Amino acid sequence: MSETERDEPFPGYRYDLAAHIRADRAQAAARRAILDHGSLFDTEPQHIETVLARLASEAGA
Amino acid sequence: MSLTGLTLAQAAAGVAQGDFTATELAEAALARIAAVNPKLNAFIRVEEDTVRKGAAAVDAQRAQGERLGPLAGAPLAHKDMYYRAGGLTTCGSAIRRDFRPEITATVLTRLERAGATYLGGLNMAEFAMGPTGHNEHFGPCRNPWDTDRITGGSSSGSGSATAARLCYGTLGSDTGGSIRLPAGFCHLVGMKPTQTRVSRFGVMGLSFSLDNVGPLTRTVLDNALMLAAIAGRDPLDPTSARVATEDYAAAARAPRASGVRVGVVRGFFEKDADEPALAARDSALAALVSAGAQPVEVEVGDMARINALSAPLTACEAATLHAHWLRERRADYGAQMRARCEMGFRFSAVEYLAALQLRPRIVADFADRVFSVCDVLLAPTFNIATPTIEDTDVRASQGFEAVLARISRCTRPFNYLTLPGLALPTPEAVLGMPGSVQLIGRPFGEASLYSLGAAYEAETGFPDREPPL
Repeated sequence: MSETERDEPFPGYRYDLAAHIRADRAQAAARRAILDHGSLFDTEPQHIETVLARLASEAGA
Repeated sequence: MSLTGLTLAQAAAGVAQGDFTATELAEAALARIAAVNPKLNAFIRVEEDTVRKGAAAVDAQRAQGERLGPLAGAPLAHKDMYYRAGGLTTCGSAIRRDFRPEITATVLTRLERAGATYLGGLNMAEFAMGPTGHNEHFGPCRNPWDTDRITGGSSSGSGSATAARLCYGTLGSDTGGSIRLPAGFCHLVGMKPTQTRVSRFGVMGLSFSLDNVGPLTRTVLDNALMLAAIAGRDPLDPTSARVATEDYAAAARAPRASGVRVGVVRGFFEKDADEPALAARDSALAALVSAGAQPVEVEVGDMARINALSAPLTACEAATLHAHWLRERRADYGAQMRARCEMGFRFSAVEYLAALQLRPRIVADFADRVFSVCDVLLAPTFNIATPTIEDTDVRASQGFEAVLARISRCTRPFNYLTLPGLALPTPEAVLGMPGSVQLIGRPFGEASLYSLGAAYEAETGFPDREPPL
């Protein structure tokens, strides 16, 4: 493996460090955005359906 | 007027009334494609037999006195990612260059049921990932308004073909702006519906949390006719919404701007903008006000944070879908697609899930706050002058992601927010090229957007402009 490659996320899979650097930036921005909000206890992704249904009914859709 | 110069609504009405046949429409479209497509590279594949067969079936229906659908005989073409059982679907990729799916996308079935015929598969960014219109396997798609400039992407062929009158309308897909951007850069109407409004069964996925199917057309009514044909619950797609559809065509036929509160958002959407793009946005606002809308200034908060949260969703979901091929067929990917997918391997599961679980809270907060002071939002679809194909041929070179992010800056937030967005041409051009604004509505508020869009269309007359081909 060269110095410009990483052996991840799968054994034997290699991609270059430039991708890692780009990912670092995106990851840092996402982490900052996540920290804007409080606890995620008692939440789950599927709640989006409830939210959309409520907003639709309020709009008279 | 030539047959290809008709709108979708006019073409279908003409077939229904017997002014011309579906076969004549199909032949006119094929002749136009043969003459113009070499300049644009909008089609990956023209399916002459398919469209002729479809047209003959519509003509036979009419001859037998059967009731025709609202899109009767209109030749459409679609981004090459909609599965047709037994037909080719390349997804703009080398990996699926010879792929023949065993299923048919619900949206194609519904369009066919509405009477539309199928011309073939359109150029697109590889696996729908890329906002410019470049494709390392099939070549760049070109903008009919200036063939040295980008169409926008990822539904590049959809924008180019519809603007160039090669077909009457198309389906694109929108994960971060991929319907609205080519609609905007090519002077078209483009609808990204509310997340889950349209079935994704049989549609190539990129990011299942953010993917949307929607139409690109030359007029608001054409767009509404297409959405009416495809929208609604689909048992084959358990993620499709159970919320009832509205009569989109009726909304488009009942223009209304009077008293509609249009929220103008600035800040994020004006940052690093090219001034002519903002002047074009202002010309659109003036037209809406002239039509009777009431402008209000709206503060929407830090949209950069929204884009930051959409990044792990797109990257992780795309990386998951492509992980096997990235391991087994890495060399078959274009450099940019591969580089963007690989980013997804870096986010942790907790970061991905946090971005997903924050979404209901953020959507509710945003909608409650914003739509209490306005009925729709107005934002530029893009805030830059249309770049050239050469200047944006960045592949995976250093800094490429900044070039791409600048193009899709204004559209991406609304995918995370799930909201419907209708891209419309601006009265004022941007350095000689089409400008565009997007009207953003409440969840499942597509009918209201069509009604306002139709009033705007009547005020501006934007469909009258044709590209100089």
